[in-house]
Amino acid sequence: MASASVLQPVKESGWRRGFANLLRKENGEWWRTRRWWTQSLIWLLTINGLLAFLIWVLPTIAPEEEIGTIEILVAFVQVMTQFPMFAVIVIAQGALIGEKQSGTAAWIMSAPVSRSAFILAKLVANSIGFFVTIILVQGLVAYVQISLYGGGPLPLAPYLALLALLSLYLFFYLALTLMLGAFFDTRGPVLGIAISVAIASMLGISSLFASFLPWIVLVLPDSIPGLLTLLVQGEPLPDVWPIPIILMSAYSLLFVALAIWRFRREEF
Amino acid sequence: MEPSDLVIDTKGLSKTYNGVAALDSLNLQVPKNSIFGFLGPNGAGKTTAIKLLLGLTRPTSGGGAIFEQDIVEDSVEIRKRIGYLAQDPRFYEHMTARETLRFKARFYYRGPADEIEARISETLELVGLADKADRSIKGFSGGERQRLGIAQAQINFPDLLILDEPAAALDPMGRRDVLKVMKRIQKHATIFYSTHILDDVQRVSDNVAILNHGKLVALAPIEELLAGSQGTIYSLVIEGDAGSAQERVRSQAWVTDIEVVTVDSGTTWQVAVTDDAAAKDQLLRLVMSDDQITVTHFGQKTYALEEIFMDIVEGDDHG
Repeated sequence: MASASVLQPVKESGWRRGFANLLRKENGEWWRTRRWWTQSLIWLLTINGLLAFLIWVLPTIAPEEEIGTIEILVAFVQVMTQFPMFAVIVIAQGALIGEKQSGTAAWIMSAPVSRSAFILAKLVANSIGFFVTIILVQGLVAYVQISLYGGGPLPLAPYLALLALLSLYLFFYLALTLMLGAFFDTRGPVLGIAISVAIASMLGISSLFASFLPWIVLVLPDSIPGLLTLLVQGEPLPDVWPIPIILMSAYSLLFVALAIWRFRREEF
Repeated sequence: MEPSDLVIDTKGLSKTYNGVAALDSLNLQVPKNSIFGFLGPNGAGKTTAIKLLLGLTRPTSGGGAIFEQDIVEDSVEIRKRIGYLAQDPRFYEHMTARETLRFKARFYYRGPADEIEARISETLELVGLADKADRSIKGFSGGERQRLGIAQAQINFPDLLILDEPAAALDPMGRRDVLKVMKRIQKHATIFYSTHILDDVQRVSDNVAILNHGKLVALAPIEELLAGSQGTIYSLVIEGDAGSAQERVRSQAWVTDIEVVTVDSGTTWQVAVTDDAAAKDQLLRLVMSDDQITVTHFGQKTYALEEIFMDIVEGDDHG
């Protein structure tokens, strides 16, 4: 018969209490289910499928269309900044709301678990999941395809900078959706608000106001796709280029802090 | 009672939702190693009180301590020593029973893995789920979920087990098993449980609290509650003319009242006394000294918990 005296108690304390176990469970939902390969496959077909069409199929059906490496990279940026964030929103919206509605969040919170750990485990596991399936896998396959098409390897440093900014862009939507999940109890407002932000960003909403509010292009999330396009085109970046990056990072951290703040006040 | 003898000690614990008091100034003391029945009609505030104790909601006013630690400030520390079964237990549907217990156990223990697995297996055995341990919870019946709920609540060898309606979804065999488990656990832990099944409370509890409309209306050891609020009463069933015996008994200083009900087969007396020892020693002798009558039953009156519960709750409603 097992005895409490031979079992080693968990040592985590404070905000980390329960984090390791929750992270293991959240990671399991990515890597021990079919989620990792379905996500990888979906984005392989859409992102790299589009690039493959442009690189390998289009020249055979329209030989007069000359597409350079830069146009391929611009297409890569466009597709990466217009579609994956919807997957992030759809998957992340259920992360908190689903647990609040099903009652599993209350069950977890009856164990010695900090509420911060509950939010952070979801943030970390989903960040890793999206980073690997969308940024890493698609970035690697795209790198190989574009390098083969260009006849030599793409310069690595700018390409890694491109992937880093794409990661930040997706992290923004992940943090936004988790925060909304902490504030609302139903999926409607979470999906509605997050998708509205994504669509506004996809349509380049800041350009509508740029003529009379020039600073707005720096503070809205669609500033990142604009920067990325300049980066791959080899155009000089504006002097204020760090501002959108700093602001997007700050927004994301603020969303995470607000999610934790709100969830600590959640009543089950 | 010293604070160290109490596992739960609340003072003025209150919770209001939108101006409506779900729990109104609860002062509750739960002694160590008791099986404490927490009773009340639907909506009385039992689940609210339990959620406050677990830190799942915050008190509007008042507070409390478990293991002498504050239920708001030290909630995580307190929960290390608690096992909890919710009224409608929810788990991750894709997990098996064994995976659920493993997941729960890892909030308390980091190893050794084989000891944790042994604990999981013995807990599954204890609640009768060993043969379903590796089946997905999705296909579990209500009773099986309840058993799993009881298993996960005790996986960490809790010092305090809080059970919200533990037998509600179980058949009579399941209920019997749960009561057995509770009796077994009582050796090492305090059990605080809410229920509607008053028979179970009478069978296993040693202390009882009754809540009505968010207020505590009774808190006592079960023997005290079952003895009734009208003092000690002896019941006799007599055949024959008992007129003179009644006068003899009524003249005793320790007799406060005799309620007489006559039916075809005889007369029933309910004798209220102030001195239990004198009653035990003399009452039957006083009646039997009259050889014209026969006593077919003599004993101290006991109440069923249901009778007490209904009296208290209905009295509170009408008061």
